[in-house]
Amino acid sequence: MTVKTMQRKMVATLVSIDDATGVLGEVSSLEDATEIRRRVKAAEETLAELERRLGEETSVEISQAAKILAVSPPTVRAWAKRGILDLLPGRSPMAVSFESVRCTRRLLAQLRAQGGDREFVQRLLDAALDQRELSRPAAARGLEQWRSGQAVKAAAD
Amino acid sequence: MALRAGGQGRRRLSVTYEVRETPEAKRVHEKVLKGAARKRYEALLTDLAAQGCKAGGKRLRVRGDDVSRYCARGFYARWRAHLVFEDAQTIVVFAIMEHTESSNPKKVIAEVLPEVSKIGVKRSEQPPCCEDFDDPPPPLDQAKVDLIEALL
Repeated sequence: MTVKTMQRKMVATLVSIDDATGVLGEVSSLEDATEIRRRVKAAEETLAELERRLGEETSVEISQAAKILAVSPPTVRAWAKRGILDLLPGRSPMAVSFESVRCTRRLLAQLRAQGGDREFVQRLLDAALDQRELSRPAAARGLEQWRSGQAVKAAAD
Repeated sequence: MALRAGGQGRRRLSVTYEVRETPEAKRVHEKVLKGAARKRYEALLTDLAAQGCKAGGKRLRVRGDDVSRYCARGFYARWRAHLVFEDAQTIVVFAIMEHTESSNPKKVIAEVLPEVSKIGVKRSEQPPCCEDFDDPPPPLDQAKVDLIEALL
């Protein structure tokens, strides 16, 4: 992206923020609840769109992502390797997309909110371990053969 | 000997299960398993034919499939038979594998969900194969499972 393009995008972003701020600023002088809700919703939509636009173009270095997600850098690398976080190609130092960090952060927040539920965490861990075990080539091959109707009657000697 | 419950002098049971193997499971059964491991596997096949899910070990979850019933049963040392219950009468051994658990689930949980590490979770508490057989538990959020699985 050229400097000129970046400047244009920056100006457009500032204008959108200014619009949203203006809409929210007027809310305090309104009395009609329906109008207040309409304006707050419009401001929320503008901010969500800005967040999406900025997120698409922002990269996050591994160490920064680790701080945001409150996990270790090796964990961030593992998640990037497994496709949970989008690794940006050709970046040195390694970086992931802000959008993927944001999604993972929300997921982690939900997980942590349910963290006290021992049964839920147990099921989650069991499912993850099963998934890992069944992703091994022999299991994947066997499942594929079963799905394509290749199983035959078992016989002992 | 084809595997159906009630053979070899025993009274034929009213409910029997047909046990099948995929070519992958058959290969390991016939070419890899030796001695005691093979005998124990074949005993498991007989148990499955007679008892169905009662001989099925632990319930498994398979990514993207909340309809079929999957189970795993250890039969010798680290060897496990992986099963799918195709219908009310048919059990398919789709893989026979040596169990490997190189990762440390507690470490993963301690990092991602530190508050849970105080409570503790154990793999051994996985539900038995027959549990909720006709009423499976609600599916988990796959994105959360993937997140945890990526760390294992």
